Amino acid sequence: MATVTMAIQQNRNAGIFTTPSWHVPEGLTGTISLATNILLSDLQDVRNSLSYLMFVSDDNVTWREYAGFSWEGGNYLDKFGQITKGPNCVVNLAEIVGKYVRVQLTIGRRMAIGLDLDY
Amino acid sequence: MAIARVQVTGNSANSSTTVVKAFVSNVTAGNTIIVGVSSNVNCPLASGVTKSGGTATIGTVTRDIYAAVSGSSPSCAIYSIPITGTGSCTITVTLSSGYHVLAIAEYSGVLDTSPCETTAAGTIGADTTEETNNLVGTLSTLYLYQFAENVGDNFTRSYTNSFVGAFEVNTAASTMAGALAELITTPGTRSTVCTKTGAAADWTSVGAAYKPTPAGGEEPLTIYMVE
Repeated sequence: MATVTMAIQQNRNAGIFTTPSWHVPEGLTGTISLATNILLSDLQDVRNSLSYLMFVSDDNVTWREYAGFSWEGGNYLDKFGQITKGPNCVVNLAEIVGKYVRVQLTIGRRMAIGLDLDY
Repeated sequence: MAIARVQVTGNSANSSTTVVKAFVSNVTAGNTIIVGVSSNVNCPLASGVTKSGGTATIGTVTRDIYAAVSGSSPSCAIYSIPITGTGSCTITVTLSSGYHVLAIAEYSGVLDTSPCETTAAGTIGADTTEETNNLVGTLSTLYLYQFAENVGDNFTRSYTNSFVGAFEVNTAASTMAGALAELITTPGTRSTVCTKTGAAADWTSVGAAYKPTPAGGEEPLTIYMVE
């Protein structure tokens, strides 16, 4: 598995942050995960919130919505009783190979957040 | 008019309160959107499925079938939405924080009003062989099952009775797995068994069958000649 860091984890103010674009190489198959990398203390802080929207472009100029999610901070546990990791979004590569992707994060409150792309 | 799938897409979102997906191509007025949701929390009412972006217009969302979380078995649901105006379309599903899989599909030839003829209530299990209740259709030609598995694993699926996976999430990158299985056929009693490779998992399935638009779009006209 390869990882591309779309945005390093650092304190980011409330507001809209858009990552640089990444060209999805031809020939990739399977799925791609766009995973947030949030500081644990921020992950567990119920005051935090995030809206995440992934955009796709054919030419790196004109962008269209593609996929996304919303997240609210909190000490959530998974079915094994473990603290859940930062939210992520998984999409099929078949629809985006050869295209450009970027992510728009709408951050509700200052927190340390980054974004990794795993494929 | 025969039902045909125009496009399908989807994604999964983990540790989230919404899951959002845009159709890759514009949707067309007169067609129907089917939304399949799998989640480890209860799938929402129809009001929790909205068009959040794009230039298309849609009619009323109907939740045709729903199964709640039961023990460790996940929730899944199928919704239908008439498309009233052509354009781009982004669908958002809003629910409690958890792990979700969203499938959105556009079909042509589905009856505009009350398209869902019959449904198959949820079945649950904790193995690798996922059964469904029967869909007993007398008019329907589109048969759909939504599957949900409470697992994050890399696996493959196979279906019986000619069903195909219109959209699937079967990857360890997602904490939740799910699939929308489809059969476009003649009216009748339909069911499928989804067999997954890999480890056993808690699963749930629900189904819904949809009627086609009558050929010609109108009832036959009878003309009586009176001398």
